[in-house]
Amino acid sequence: MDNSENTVSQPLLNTAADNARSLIIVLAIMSFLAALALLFSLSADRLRNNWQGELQRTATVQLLVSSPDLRDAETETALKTLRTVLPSADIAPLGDVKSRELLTPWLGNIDLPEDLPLPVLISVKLEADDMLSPPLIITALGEEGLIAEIDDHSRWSDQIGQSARGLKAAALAILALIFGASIAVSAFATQAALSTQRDVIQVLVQVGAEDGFIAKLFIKQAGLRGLKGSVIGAALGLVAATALSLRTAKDTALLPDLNVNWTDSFYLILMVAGLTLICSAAAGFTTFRLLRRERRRS
Amino acid sequence: MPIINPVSSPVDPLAAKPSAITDVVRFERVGLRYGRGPEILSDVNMRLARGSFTFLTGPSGAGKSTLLKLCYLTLKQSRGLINLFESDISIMSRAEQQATKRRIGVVLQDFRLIEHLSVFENVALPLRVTGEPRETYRQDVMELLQWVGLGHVMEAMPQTLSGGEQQRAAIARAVISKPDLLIADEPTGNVDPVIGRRLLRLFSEMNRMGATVLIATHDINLISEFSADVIRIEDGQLLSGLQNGHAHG
Repeated sequence: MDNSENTVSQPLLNTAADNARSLIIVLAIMSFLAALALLFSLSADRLRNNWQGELQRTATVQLLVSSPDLRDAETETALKTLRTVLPSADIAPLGDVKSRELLTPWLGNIDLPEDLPLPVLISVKLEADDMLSPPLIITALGEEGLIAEIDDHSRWSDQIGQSARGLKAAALAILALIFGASIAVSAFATQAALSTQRDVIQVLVQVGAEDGFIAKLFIKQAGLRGLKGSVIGAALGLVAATALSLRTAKDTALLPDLNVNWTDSFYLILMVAGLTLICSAAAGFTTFRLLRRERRRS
Repeated sequence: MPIINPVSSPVDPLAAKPSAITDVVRFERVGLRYGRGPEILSDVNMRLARGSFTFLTGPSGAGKSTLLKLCYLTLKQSRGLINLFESDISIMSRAEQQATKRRIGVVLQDFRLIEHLSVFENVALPLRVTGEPRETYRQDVMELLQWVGLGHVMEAMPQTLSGGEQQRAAIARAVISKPDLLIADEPTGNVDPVIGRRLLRLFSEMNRMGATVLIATHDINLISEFSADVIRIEDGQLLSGLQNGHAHG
């Protein structure tokens, strides 16, 4: 008798009986979309952090000079005061040319009269760890007899934060929808598999297989198919996002910078694991449910 | 209505049997109907003692297969009591039912071999579903396949086998777990008389080793060649019992 044979069990479910390839393709497409949504969400988050960080470290002080004759003197006093209050900050007046440029969006590209009274604008750039306190600066300038307003860009920062949060929420909602669709796809596929493998299940039940044993077969099958599909989709999604990030950085300023970090692959692995688990769980739940229903019918 | 009491005797009275006679199968006023239709089985009373060998006979459509299905728990009775191994099946949990099924070997007329599994895998199925490691049963399966003359085709797929070989594979699957109750539905229906007799001798061997055997067949000639109890069913009712070819009851 040849003992070298029969060392590995054959799969009890007929893998050729149902259309596994179609299911893997559908799961790969969903995983691809989920990967893009996830990477987009992560990029949007990073972008928000970068932009907000940059905005929070800059401010513009607008000095309202009391008379044109005192413009230079008051500017000098303001610079001195600001450098005292914010010793580590980079403080510099914007100058007339830059001030006129800032008016262009409001007044159009026209030649402004030379004697147009422009406010004195002073740019403040803080070190990374410094915090800006507009009331403190206004008080310090006020003690020198200067009237000033400070634009700390918080309005823009808040708007960027809101927009980024909205984008992130939309991406996560898409992700949730894709996960939900994966549950439905896996449940339908299991239902179809249970139908096509009806003869096998009948024999298994007849020889005394427990529901758990049968469910495990479908859980394993769905898990493997989910893993295959989601790995393929995630890999393609990563490639597409990387290509897109290179393209957007070079070709257009309209799209946000979809820079992909190596740390994103950790989240992609989590997503693949999630999709695999979802497929397995949906298959197990469907198998138990249908076996119970079948028993009630008989 | 006559109540049949085929408390069967073993084929070989010299074979070792448990001293206490207990019922492996007991039916009391069992009825079966589908939905609101007429009863397919009516007031069936039946007892199969441990170690008995019994033929169930009757014309086609009489209810033989249905009665067997009740015995191997594929159908549930509409009324009456069914005890298997002295347990009421109506109060068994799902797990208990499946555990009971593992004590029953079933050979069906259409064999029910799984086409994408080799002969070895088909025969090993009852052991595999219990979660036993493959190493613990591999040798047993191979030996049984040799014993039933399928050693040379154990890696073959069922559809490549002849009818007789498929039949032997189905029987091997039914007996591999050494069941306490062996049920066969027309096991000789698809094979020639010579193979049919050989298969029945295999069942006799199983019976000699302690299994209770219940075989449905309409082949009266075959029945007459074997020393066994006989139950006859017609139109869903047990009519009379024949013991060793003679009517009683």
